[in-house]
Amino acid sequence: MRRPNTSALRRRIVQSWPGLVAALAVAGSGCTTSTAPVLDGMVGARAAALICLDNGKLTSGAECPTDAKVRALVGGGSRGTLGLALPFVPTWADQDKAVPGMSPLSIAGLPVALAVDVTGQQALVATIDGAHRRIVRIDLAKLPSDRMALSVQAELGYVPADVAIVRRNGASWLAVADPAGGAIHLTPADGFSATPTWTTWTIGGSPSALLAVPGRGELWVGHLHEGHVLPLDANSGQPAGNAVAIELGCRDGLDGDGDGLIDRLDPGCDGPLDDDERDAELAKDCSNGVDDDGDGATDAQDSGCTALPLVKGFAVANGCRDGLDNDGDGQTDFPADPGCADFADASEASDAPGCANGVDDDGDGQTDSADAQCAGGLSREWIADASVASAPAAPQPACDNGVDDDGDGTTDLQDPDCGRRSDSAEAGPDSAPAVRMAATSDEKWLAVAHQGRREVLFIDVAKRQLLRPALGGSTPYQRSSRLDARDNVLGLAFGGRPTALAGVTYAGKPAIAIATSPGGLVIAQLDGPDAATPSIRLLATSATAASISRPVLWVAGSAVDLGSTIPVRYASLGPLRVETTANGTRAYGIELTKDAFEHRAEQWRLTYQGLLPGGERSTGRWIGAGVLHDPGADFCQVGVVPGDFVILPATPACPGGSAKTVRAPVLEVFGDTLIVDAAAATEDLVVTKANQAAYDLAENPSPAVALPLPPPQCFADGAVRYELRSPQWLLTGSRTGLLSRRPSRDGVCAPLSSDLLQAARMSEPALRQVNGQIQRPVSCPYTANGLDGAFVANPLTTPVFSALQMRPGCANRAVGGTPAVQVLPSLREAAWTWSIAPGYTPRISAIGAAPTALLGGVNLKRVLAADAGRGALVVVDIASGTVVSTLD
Amino acid sequence: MTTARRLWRNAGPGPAGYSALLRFATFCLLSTGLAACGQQEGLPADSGRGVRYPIALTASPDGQRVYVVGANFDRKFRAGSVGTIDTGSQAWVGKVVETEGFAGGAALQLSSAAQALRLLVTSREHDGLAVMDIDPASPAKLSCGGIDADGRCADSHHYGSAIGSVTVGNDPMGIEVLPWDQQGWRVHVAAAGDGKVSVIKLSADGKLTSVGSTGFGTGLSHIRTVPRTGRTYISDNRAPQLHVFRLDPEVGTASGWKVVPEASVSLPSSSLQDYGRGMALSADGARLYLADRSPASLVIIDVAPDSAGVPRNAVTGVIPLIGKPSEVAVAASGEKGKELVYVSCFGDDSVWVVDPWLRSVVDVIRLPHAPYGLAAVKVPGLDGQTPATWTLYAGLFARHAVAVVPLSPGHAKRHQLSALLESE
Repeated sequence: MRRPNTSALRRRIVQSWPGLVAALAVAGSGCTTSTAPVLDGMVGARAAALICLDNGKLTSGAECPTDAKVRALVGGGSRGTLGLALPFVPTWADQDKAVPGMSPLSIAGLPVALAVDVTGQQALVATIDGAHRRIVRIDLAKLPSDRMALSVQAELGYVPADVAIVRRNGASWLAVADPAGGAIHLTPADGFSATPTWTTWTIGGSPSALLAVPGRGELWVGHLHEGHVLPLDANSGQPAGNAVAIELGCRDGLDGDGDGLIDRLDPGCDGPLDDDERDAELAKDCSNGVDDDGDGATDAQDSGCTALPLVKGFAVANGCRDGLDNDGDGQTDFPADPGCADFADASEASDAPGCANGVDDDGDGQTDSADAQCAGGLSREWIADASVASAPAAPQPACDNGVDDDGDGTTDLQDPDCGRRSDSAEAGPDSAPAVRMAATSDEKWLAVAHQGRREVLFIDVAKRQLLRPALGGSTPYQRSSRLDARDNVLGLAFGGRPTALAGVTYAGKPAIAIATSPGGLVIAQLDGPDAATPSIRLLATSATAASISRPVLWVAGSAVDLGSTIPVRYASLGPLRVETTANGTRAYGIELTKDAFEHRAEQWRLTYQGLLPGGERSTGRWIGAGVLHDPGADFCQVGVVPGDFVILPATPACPGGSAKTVRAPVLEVFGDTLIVDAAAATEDLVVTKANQAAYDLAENPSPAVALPLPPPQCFADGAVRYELRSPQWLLTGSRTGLLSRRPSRDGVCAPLSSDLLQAARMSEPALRQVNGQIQRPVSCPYTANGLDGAFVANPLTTPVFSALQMRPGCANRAVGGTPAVQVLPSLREAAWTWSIAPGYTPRISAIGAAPTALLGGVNLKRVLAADAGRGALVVVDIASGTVVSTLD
Repeated sequence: MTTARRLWRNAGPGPAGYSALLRFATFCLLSTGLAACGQQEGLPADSGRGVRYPIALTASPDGQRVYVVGANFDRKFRAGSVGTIDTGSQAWVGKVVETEGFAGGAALQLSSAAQALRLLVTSREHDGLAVMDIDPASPAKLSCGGIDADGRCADSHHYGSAIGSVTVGNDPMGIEVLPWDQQGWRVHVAAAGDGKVSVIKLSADGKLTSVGSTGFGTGLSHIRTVPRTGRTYISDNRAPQLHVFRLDPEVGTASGWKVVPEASVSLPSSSLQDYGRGMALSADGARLYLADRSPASLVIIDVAPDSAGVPRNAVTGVIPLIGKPSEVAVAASGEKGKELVYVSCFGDDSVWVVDPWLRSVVDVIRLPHAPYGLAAVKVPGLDGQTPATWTLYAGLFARHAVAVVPLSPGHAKRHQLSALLESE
């Protein structure tokens, strides 16, 4: 029997419970008698409001004349408490003199949100206490003596998400957001009792954020799940104008083109990333002389009407919104035809049996019933090899399995988060679009914290219009890099989730304070040259240049130090370079633009023969003659380009199969179909330390052995697990992802027309050839004098480095006396990582890890942040960004 | 101070004595003030015959049993005790078995019929695994080879650095078992001491074979794989991030597989330096729920694949909690089967209930004595006709007991303590 290793045990205890061990050391004697702790007080602060005590009179905190007169109500605790802070003393006001220390007021329920009714001298707090959901009234009449009192509680029949006080027909009303019920419930604030009479406005969606805009007599409503905000007339409860989209057009929950169809159910939507609901030119409308989709092209000139060729017998033309029953199954288009993943799907026949899908599945020139195997009674065009084990059935996609997977009450395509039938989750990526809102003091601009996108968006209140960043550096709405525009960034993008907003004043102009988690507090200044052209930017400590962090070469999981530092440069995503600057410093960087608006924070990774993100799939159908069809794929969006490799697994037991993993270059790319070059198929030679020298250009430019592509019958039911890989270097980013991803329309990828889009693929120079023959065999592209004349730059892709040689077998020359990369045990495992910081450094104030509420006012020089993590109230000076005090 | 005397008597002088003192002191502190060093109720740090300090619970798929792992830090006192609760009778059944060394996480290996075949328990003290066979005819009966008079498993059912070819890292905390192929299962073990994550193949005959490993930060806690994307996530109580890896087929390696680390998921951070703990997956596998200690919160991570098939790995919600969130369980126990998330808050004597759709706390279940390990179980009706009901089993760390909490809507004691199953 082995005995315990005492030192190891001690180490583990220290590692596992460092705080406890430290506490033991402090406690000395160790054992004390205690009861279970009650972690109450302000820990878990989750609701707050500002009030003002001006000459003994309770007034609005937002309009308090000076900081010194401000009080803050902060709700939190484990069992529900409300604290009263004098933030500029700073201290808490003790609510129970009988208890030692500073005691908050117990409100018997977790506070969710609170609103102050100045007229009624009360705070109304939404709480959750077990199965009880309540509105708790707090009497503030004794506030001049810094005391509060709980008066009445009213039960709610739903989980409240937010509360607000609105002026309605001359009186103050309490509004409560009910996200599960899609409603706003209102009751007079005056005389609030335990049995209030409620008025309900059913508006649908999932109301979760309320913002009263008293100057306009409006109540703005944000939703937990729907991508728009809605202004309501505070008196009538009717919409006071159009809802404002805060999402892309095909996921905003609105009927953007007025055809009665919304988002994914509108034939004009190619998917959730489509920003335009306008309908495509339909096949049935292709001879009416009308530009039905408003894209500027009519009938035959419209791509929607263009007859796309069949590729090797496989239909790539759009068939899921043409108004025709293409596969003759009695069902037409998406969503009626189960063979259509979405409106952009190329074919209705994805669900058809192999002998009725209109496809020459085995590439023998005969399709469906004309094929001998189908005529012989088989359900497919080939005879499956008995030696091939059936692949386990792939799970039915969550958006096509008849189950309400996320429990939100909607199933499959009825769930707004299901963009297409093949989506594998009913949960959308951009949920929680509007859980916090704030208006500027002049009520001209409204800020919305979109937590799913990690953006703060701005709305022109009068025009009911989202201020979308425009392209180019001259736009008054700054932070509009081309990358942001292409990726549909709709506002100010942050690394963390924006958790709270407040209207404040900076330098005499309206501003919005923004809290992010993780991160801190930043101030967005709104100071355009005139009212019509707002300028929105973050206050920054510097606005000069972007920086690139020191790049690190990762080889087999270990970092290889390159021994250089990176100068501060402007950043964009041009080709990588290593260059010597005027002062002799080596710069590892990228082709730069002087446009300061081309920056954004991002981390990038460069890998050799990298797997395309999303390029590992198990739902392919391997059709003969080099056609790979994957009904659930969008190869344009994945970013496949001609020249990429399709990797198929070894099929050693199958006649005609391959004993080794085989790869073939892609010839053509369609939305869900790839055409590969069967003649160029080779063994998929994995680059390892042992064989990397075989890649020596001069000796063996193609060490891989040619192999035939396996026939379809080598895969059970034709289903194949496959990979998509770049042939050379692949650049992927943490936010942008694969740069060569492209939109598709009607199953055809948009052309690769931008150098930015091509930046994902990089190569080393190629050996110069004449009539297909290498003229001078040289292994390594670079010499001490630069590029060897035997090489030419690849015209389609850009060189990775101008001096460093990433090619195996090449000794890298020293640059500036410093040895360059020395170790490349496996090129496929080598990766560069570095990060790009934006073109300026936002001024960030540290306010804790979990800010849940911000409090500010038009006349206040400071802004208050409630941190749920520490249970602290942090006071920040707006002008300097410094933390003035912290009230724990 | 009976406990103290016993400790000193058994530990003796020297390093072993120091270790025992440290263990004992840690014991006291672990209970967060509830320990009271044997003087208060709920922490009789004596041997007993039952499960001591329950930290990990795992339920059989048929909902009929809950296996409870205790993690007494002193092997004298049933260091890794494992017991079984019958959910029908709501009682401990069978004999408590003890692994070598104090235990960490536990996971069940399931047959294709979703029956439990084996229970795997990490041994933090010995950097290994205890593999216990479950008798299909008598599922409460755990066997692990020869069992000595103290109920300890024999060495032959212990796998670790000292025995066989399987190695796990230093101080293994997290473990999971998932189906792999027709030949077996995959076992993932995350070690806190050296940050090693081990991938092990478990064949049908119970044989363990190392597949590969990789390293992350020191503080690994729990491990969960998302079947849809094949990505495995590891929480780290020392860093505000989730580590991620995938397993790729690889020619040229002994196992034919390669563990490939991917970019980690950043989490909210604070200066408290105590971060990720338990994790659970949503029913649709699209969201990962993480109990985070600083800031105390339930973090919702979107792990569904995007349109390009890449896991989104985005934090979509941080719901503030209180009091050392520890473990997470998921149940379709809301109205109309809506999914709710349960988080044990060790330092607050409570289990917080979160509606992930509303991103809101909707209830707080008050339980005594530091709830830690959780299992949300769909318990079948007794007569086969009454509908199954969701029930939460919560290990009460300081009471050597398991709390039973009905979860189903309409139950008279929903979200309240309905029974306390004391271990002997």
